[in-house]
Amino acid sequence: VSDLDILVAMPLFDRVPRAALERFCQAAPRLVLSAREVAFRQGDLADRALLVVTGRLDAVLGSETLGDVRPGEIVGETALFVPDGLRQATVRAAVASTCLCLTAASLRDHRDNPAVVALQQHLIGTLGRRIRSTNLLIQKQWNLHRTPEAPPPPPTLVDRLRLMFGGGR
Amino acid sequence: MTAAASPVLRKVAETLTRRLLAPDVTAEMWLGLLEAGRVVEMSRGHQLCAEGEPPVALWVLVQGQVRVERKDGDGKQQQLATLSAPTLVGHMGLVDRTRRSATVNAEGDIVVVELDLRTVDRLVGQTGDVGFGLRQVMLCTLTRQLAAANTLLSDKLARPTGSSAEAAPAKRLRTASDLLDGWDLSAPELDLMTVVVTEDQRRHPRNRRP
Repeated sequence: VSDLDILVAMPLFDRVPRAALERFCQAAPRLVLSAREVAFRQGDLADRALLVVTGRLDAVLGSETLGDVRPGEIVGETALFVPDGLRQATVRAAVASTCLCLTAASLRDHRDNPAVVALQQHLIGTLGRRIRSTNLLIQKQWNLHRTPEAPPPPPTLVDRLRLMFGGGR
Repeated sequence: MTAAASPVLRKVAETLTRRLLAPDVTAEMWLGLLEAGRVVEMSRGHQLCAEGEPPVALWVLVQGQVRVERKDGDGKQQQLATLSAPTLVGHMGLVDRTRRSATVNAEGDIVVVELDLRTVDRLVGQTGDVGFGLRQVMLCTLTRQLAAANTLLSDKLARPTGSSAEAAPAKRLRTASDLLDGWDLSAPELDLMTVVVTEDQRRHPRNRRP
């Protein structure tokens, strides 16, 4: 099964003509990783994102695995929108994997390709969902640690007189 | 740029390109976006959108500042953030079609480019320069927003405000998107902004400082 056949079956590209996907495959360099091979390291210059075609990648920080990236998902997309950024985590293949490399220049140069449009639309939705879920986590943290509001101080004699006689402050 | 474009639009397009709101968006792309929407001047206090409304448009803030507010539990209007040009305003509602989570008012005199829902929907799915430009502007804005949210979350995990809570490792929730770009995370209103907004699992307005 070719990369193209796999991409055609991905929901992300379900409205993209096969010919457009073929052009997209030709424009995006293929990266083949063996199990445990590193795609990029924390601190590296972030110059490309990876679209996983087969296999599975892990994002790790030190000895901790932050999450995995499966076929049809993109990792390292910040590189496409923030120039000269650095990788915040290491990404390595959990199993033998195949990816397509995406760069800001390749998106720009192939902006008329419906596959690029689909990819950008997919990323807009993905980032939107990540922002919502991150905000939810922040909310949970806040609820966990917030202190109850102090009760208002009791009214003073002046306050009570103002209330009785309608005086303003 | 198109030959028929007005000098005002050209100037706005060039300014937006120089300010690098989205690095790959050229002056020609900006001009196409400006022509697809409408440039609106608003005076102080003008309301762009109100909390609870369905989303009908997004705005590129070209000049000036807007104030983002929402009602707290007591029904009092609380200021969450002030956003300065150039930035995108009101895009989250269009990304996931949720109602407005905050009210946005002009802080002083402002200039915006308004893109209505139908135009946004059409452009976001369109090949060519203008569609690409809009998608890139949205993606760059969302990337910065996510980076700020991730950093704030990491900070909250590292330094919880409660007394007895044990600090979780800050690294736990850092992601590859965790980059800062021109954000002032020490601003107290950002804390309030995020907390209040996320109470309803809604949007996370930005607090970008010039």
